[in-house]
Amino acid sequence: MSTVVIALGNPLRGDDGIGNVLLDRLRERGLPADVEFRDLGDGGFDVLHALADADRAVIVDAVRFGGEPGECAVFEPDDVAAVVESRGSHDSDLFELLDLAAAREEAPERVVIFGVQPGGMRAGERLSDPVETALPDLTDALVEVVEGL
Amino acid sequence: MSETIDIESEYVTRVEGHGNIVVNVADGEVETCEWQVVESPRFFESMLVGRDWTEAHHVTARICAICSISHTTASLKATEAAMGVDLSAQDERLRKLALYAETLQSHVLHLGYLALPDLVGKQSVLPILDSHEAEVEAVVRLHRLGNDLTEAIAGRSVHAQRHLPGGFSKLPDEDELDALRTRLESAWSDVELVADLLVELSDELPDFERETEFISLTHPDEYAFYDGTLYSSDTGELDVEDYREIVDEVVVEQSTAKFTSHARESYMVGALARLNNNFEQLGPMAKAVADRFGLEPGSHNPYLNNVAQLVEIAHLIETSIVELDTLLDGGLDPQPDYHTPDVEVEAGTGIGAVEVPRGVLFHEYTYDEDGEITDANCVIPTNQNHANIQQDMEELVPTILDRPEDEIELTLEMLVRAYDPCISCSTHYLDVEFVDE
Repeated sequence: MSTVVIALGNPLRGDDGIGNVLLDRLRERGLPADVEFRDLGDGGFDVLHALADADRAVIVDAVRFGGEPGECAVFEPDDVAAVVESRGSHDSDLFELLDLAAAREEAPERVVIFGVQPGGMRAGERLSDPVETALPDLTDALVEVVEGL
Repeated sequence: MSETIDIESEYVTRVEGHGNIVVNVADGEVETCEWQVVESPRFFESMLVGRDWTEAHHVTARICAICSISHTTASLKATEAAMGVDLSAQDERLRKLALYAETLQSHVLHLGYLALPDLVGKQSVLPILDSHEAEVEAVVRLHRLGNDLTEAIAGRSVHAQRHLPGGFSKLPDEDELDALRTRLESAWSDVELVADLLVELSDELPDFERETEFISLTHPDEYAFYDGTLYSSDTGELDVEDYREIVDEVVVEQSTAKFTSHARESYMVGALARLNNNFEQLGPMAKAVADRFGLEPGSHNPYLNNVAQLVEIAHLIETSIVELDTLLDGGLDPQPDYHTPDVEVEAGTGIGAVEVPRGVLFHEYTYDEDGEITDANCVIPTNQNHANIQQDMEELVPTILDRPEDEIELTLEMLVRAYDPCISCSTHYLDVEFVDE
């Protein structure tokens, strides 16, 4: 049983790079050898291939869910349709890819999204203060999610 | 007349551009017919200023996640040109292979994921899985093949880790390359599956022709991707050094992206431009695919850019096998891991021109004596196609006004998608507005 942790986002757009930063911290946590780490940037079709190889997947990204900056939300793709009326204008089309992955035979058993509410996504490599401050707690929370799958 | 964007209402964040098609018809007369590009400025050129020569290609890779190797390659070529760095024949082959592999995955993505749904009358690739499962699986396999070849050379499929000014930090594993060569050989059946389907659906591609100028790189020895001189179908060979005058960027009211023109009001770059300019250098399998569609040099139907991409997919597989054979014959010249090529840092200006999935890409940097960038300019293929899309629309729209509004809308969306702009432009952000007064 293998797990893939996929970071999405652009580290040159402030908190949009939170997935990438958390992935680096996760690598230092001594997780089991069957946990794979993938930094997929803007993702796209690569997400489909990464999911095809795994039994379980956690996608880490900046997500606006109405929380406080630095707060995290853990949810599954089906939860999103229940929360958001229209998810169509999301340009990376993550959810369509997840639907496509689920429709194929090579679908993982479980896909979870670990979203961090961003404080800012202006051009630049710095995380916003609240997200930077929350990094230790976010890393702990992410480890718990990965281990709890 | 313009789209309102409220990204605050979205659930997952991602920042890309978008485009609008605006057609205004009053009493049967076209009053407005505009291709509007409303992308936010991204300031990559400004971000490069002050950056070290070792960093530029990592920064510019982030311009695009679909063609990040393309930007990496153009960026490295610009840096190498500025500092007079030569590349070994082996490293040049590896650079080419990574570029071919990325172009393969990008073309497959566009054809299979973005263009195909239009031709089978669906909104996305998802419903196609029911009716054309074998073809969708072939698309996924071909895309993955491109990604895996990129990853074998670059260290990962997006945002290359091993590419460096002057070479690579680590060489690919030869057994892995050999296995990829076998997969490339067996990819023909997947190409055939996609070609069969596209031939079956080719009547769905609108029969529209508008004579235009095609600009691409050209090379005396090969179908140009990695290197070459510029070529215009109107005026012949052009010097890459003159690229700023050639693209002649101008600001237009309807777009935050600049429009370009050369010998006419617009020109086209991309697969169809390359095919028209360099057709004779395509491999035999690629020519056979072109023949199935009757696609020949001098084609002026922009919708056939989709077919030109399929022809290039065949060519990229053929030429990648040849490059791999050359590399693997006798084995790679060894180098230690964490290799750092010798580069003598010096002040200077260099241009990197590369054919990438959507057309010819230019990066130009000026370095000071410390190897820091003082000036940067990037001209992206999609921007070079905006004016051509506009001209196509102006000629096409009056000829299809008698059709139902949703058919006009689909025909125009398919036109934009044929040029293969970024994903966000060609899927959900593309809104068509009619104001029929």
